[in-house]
Amino acid sequence: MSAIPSRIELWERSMASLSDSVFLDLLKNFIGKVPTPFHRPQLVKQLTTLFSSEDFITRVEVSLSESDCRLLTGCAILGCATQDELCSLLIDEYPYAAIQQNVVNLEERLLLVPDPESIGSRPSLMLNPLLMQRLLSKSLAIGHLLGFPAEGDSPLSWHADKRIVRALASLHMHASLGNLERSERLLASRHAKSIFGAEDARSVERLLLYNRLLFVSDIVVPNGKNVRVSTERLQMVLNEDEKSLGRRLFSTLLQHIHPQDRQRYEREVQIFYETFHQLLAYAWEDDPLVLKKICTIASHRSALAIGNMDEFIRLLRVTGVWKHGRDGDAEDSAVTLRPTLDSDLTISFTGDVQPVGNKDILHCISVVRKVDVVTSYEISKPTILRAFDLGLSASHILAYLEGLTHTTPASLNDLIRHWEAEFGAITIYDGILVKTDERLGRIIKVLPAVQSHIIRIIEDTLFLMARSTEQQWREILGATGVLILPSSISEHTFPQSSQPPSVTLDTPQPPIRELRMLLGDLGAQTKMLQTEQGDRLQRELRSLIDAKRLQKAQKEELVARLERKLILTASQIDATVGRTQTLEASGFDFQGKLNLCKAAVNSSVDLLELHMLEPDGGTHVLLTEVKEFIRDSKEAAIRVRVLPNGEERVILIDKVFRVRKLRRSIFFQA
Amino acid sequence: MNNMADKPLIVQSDLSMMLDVHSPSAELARNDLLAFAELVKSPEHVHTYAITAISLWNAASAGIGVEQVLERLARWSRYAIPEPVTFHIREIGGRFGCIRLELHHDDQDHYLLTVSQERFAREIMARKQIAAMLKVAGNGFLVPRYQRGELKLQLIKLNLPVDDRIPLDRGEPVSLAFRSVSLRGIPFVLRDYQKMAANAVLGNGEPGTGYGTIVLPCGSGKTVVGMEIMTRLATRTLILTTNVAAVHQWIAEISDKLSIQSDQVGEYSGMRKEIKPITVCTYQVLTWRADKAGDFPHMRVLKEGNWGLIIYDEVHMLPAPVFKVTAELQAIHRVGLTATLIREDHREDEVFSLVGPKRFDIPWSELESKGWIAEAECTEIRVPLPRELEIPYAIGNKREKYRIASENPEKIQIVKDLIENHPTDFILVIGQYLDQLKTLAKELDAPLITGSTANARRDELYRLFREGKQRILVVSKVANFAIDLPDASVAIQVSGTFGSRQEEAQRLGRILRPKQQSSHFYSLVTRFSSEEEFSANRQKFLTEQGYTYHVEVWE
Repeated sequence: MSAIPSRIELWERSMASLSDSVFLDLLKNFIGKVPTPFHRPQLVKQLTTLFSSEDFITRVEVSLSESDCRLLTGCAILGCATQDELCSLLIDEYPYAAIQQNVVNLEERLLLVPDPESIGSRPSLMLNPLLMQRLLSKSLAIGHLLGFPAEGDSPLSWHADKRIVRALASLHMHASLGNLERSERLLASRHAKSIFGAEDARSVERLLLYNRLLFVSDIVVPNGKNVRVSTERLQMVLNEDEKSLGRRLFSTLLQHIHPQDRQRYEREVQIFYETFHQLLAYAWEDDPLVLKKICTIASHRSALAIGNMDEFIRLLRVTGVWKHGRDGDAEDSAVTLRPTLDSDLTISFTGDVQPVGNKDILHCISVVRKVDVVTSYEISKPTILRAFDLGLSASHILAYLEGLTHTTPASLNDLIRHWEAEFGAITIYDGILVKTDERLGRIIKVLPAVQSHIIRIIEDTLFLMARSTEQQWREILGATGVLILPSSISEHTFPQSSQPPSVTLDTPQPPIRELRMLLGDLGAQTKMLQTEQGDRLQRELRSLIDAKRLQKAQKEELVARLERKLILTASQIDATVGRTQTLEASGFDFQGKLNLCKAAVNSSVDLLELHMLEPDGGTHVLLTEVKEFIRDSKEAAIRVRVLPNGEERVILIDKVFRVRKLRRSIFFQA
Repeated sequence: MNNMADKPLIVQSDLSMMLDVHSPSAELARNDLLAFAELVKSPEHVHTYAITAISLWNAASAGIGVEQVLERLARWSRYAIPEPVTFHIREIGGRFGCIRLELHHDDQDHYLLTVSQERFAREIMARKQIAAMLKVAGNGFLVPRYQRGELKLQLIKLNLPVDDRIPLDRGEPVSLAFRSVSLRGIPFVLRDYQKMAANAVLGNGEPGTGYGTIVLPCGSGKTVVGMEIMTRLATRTLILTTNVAAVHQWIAEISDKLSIQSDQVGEYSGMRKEIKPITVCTYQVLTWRADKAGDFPHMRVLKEGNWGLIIYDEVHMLPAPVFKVTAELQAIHRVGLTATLIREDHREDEVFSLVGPKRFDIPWSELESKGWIAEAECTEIRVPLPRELEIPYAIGNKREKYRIASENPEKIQIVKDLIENHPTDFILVIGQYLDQLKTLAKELDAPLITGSTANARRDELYRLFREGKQRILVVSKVANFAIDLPDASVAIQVSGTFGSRQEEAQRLGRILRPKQQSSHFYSLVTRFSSEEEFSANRQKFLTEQGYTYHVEVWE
């Protein structure tokens, strides 16, 4: 295990990863023109000193705009991020070109620097390590991305509704819903409205996804057209806390979106969900845009790509229980109807039932009748017989009911005892019938080691042996001198579950803990932008520029750099740094536009921002990579790849009223 | 009402409501709810009510509008009222009053139907069957008078209630009043709930009142409620009931409690055909006809009697042909009486449309707790099947199985033992199958009443039972309804009509007249047979009313 590098080491390695030309280009903005020959480590140290200076850091802080803070917060949460990943966080709020150029600007301000540990195919950015702790504690906040809380707001949480899981399990046990397809049909047509009050398509869809959860979690196991309900599995799931159950539902949704990837991304799903869950604690309203940001972050952090993010967000909003922590708690603690067992054998309660002595068997002994404000389950002879079939006894059931309700009708005791007597009329054993000769029969009957494996002695030479311990009793019998035991003779073999093991619930992995610490550093509180101080700084620097006796072009260049917040101190006002202004051509400057387009063809460093005229007189802006310049006798055009979606288009230059040449990245080339 | 714990009501999004009866304010809340919700079930702890379209329209017709309904819900609801409930109450409840049926001045052949919302008018006219009854006239439609009931029935099936504002006919007046002391010498006082039930139907006498159904437990005095309505309307009255014995009981009660000359009360049955200002008639005679294709000759009693009031006793038994004629009698005051508004043929909506909506209902347990009906202990006794019948039972089809289980000969000895255990009680042994009942009657040396027993003989036997001269009666299902045997305190049910809930309730009702000691209802059921399942279904209504069955196995 390698030691965690210090922040300075990380910074130095980041700087070391830059080519000389990029490094020197950046450097001249901060410490002026560097004469050759130069000593690069020395120059890095100079930069380190600058970025460690309290005065400079303060200037950096006051220079931050809102979008700067949002991007830097995004990068902090992602740990390291590609340009595209950062842009994807704000793509729904800003034009892509603007946000991409904002990232480039943060690069040239050295607030974002290359992550030295990112591999070549995925060049990533990270927060400047020298500034990170200060920015996290003073300037950045998760609220910049997810919104700040208003007074009295409480954070959202998302979890699965255990009541629905229990109710569906009860229906599978007692109402013969059948396999997935049949149960979906029956639920939609028969039970959705009558039991769950699901009248609209969205509510029905929610129910069907929960039903899917039961199958995905191997609670309901298909067996031909029928199903088997695993009570152990169900018990385990019902014992889980809300968050873990939510994770199962989450996993079900992901599999619904990507059915072919059922088990592929187990660990990624886990990280995704943990990230989602942690970030949700900083979200204040059920807003699709906020959720999308959270899921986008979770997707990047877990490296789990969601093919159709909008659909996934929709499913999240359809299925889960959205609850505002404090409000929800208050509601839960309000007056409730404790489980009440009435004389018509209906159990009614609000909320959900708690286990009685670690037993949670309501769904085994009764069938759900209603899931609403009040949930109702009904006990009947068939449901109790089914419970007996699942291995419960009358004593178990009565003890459970007495613990659950305190209102057990006197007659129920008699009823259940009678039903038990009736049920006991026939017992079906699952086991392996072993026929022996007389000698071996005598041995089996007295051999201590084998007694626990005998279910029934049918005759002196006929034994019903446990199927689950077959290997053990075979060995024991083998040891008695029977050299080769015959293999079992049976009509069929029991099918082994073809389902792969379900998603395991491991403890969170290190990256998740990092996120928790990070979120702790960021905090939920509002961090105000220091715009006033920033404006004041700008005005001071501007007056210094104006005071200098410079040529017009030099002054314009300095003002442009000031606006891009590349100048934070008086020492950076250096007219000799060279031209960094954005080149552009517009209007009737057709040749200028042509030249910019030609120069950008297949450029690894430049992008073109094209301002296009709409037929209705409006405009829209495209950020493009130019792939080809096309010219015939009449017209000139360019074939471009539009960012970020990569769509290829051919655009007539006539239709472009402005072209701007922009940097793709300060650090990276395409 | 600051404390949420004092709020006993939980409103569900499907418009059902749960009332926590142990809450101190449950009683107050219940009184508020009854005006616009129907009691679905009332077991010991949590009562269930349902808001239905019909219950909302009932409330609206009684002057309780949707806003008042919502206000009452808010007053008693423990949690916020789900949004769909508010929406539904406004959308459906608000329909009442949009369609009105009124007199059309100077037109003796038509009524005027007005529709205040264009969408409803379009919906109505889109139905050919309804449109055929209507003629556009100015702001509304003209409806032939004879189609008043049919139109209401058709519209209610579209969820469009008609606010019938046509005054009911008063009928020919008849002088009637309760005696302060009955002829039997018992002081007579009307009970509160009986008065409330009569008020619920008659209201303030305004249009929209004067018809409806009253649901009261057996033995709680539905006949008295009927007589209270008769005295308040004081008009020619036709009482329809299920059999001749019940006709005689009505006549006896009327003579006993009302100050009316005996020649003013007539019997219209298979035996006698009298039409008097107060006439009591059987459903059977009305629906009798010479052949299947022929007319019902006695239906004219209904149409031509110039009645001001018709009482439908045991309205859940109302036969289909009487429904049809009732549709033509919408101008007459109508009252349905029953203990169980459960029709096994699911025609409750026709009772609503043609006789009238349910106006009054009260949990059985409440009357029991106040002593207005007897406390009853219900016991289901599981009886083993004799060995020689096990194989016939095992190979029989469903019907045969049920028959074998019902006629289980082991039940005879158990009936004897039970009778021995109740040496001073008056006992009814009730069953379904004649062979079984004949055997029982013989074994018990008790008289048997079945459908084929002559009415005079039935009356005689009932009289002897009432007078204490006959302690045990074996009866078939003819005694399920409308037979008042006040001293009966034990009922032993040996077989029944499959899973009929109303039959079970009616049979229990035979022993619910208030008395000094508790009543006992025994249901004998063959163990490990389909009779157990049917029995469970039969018991549903009563368990929902708060009765619990103790199960005993007869070893």
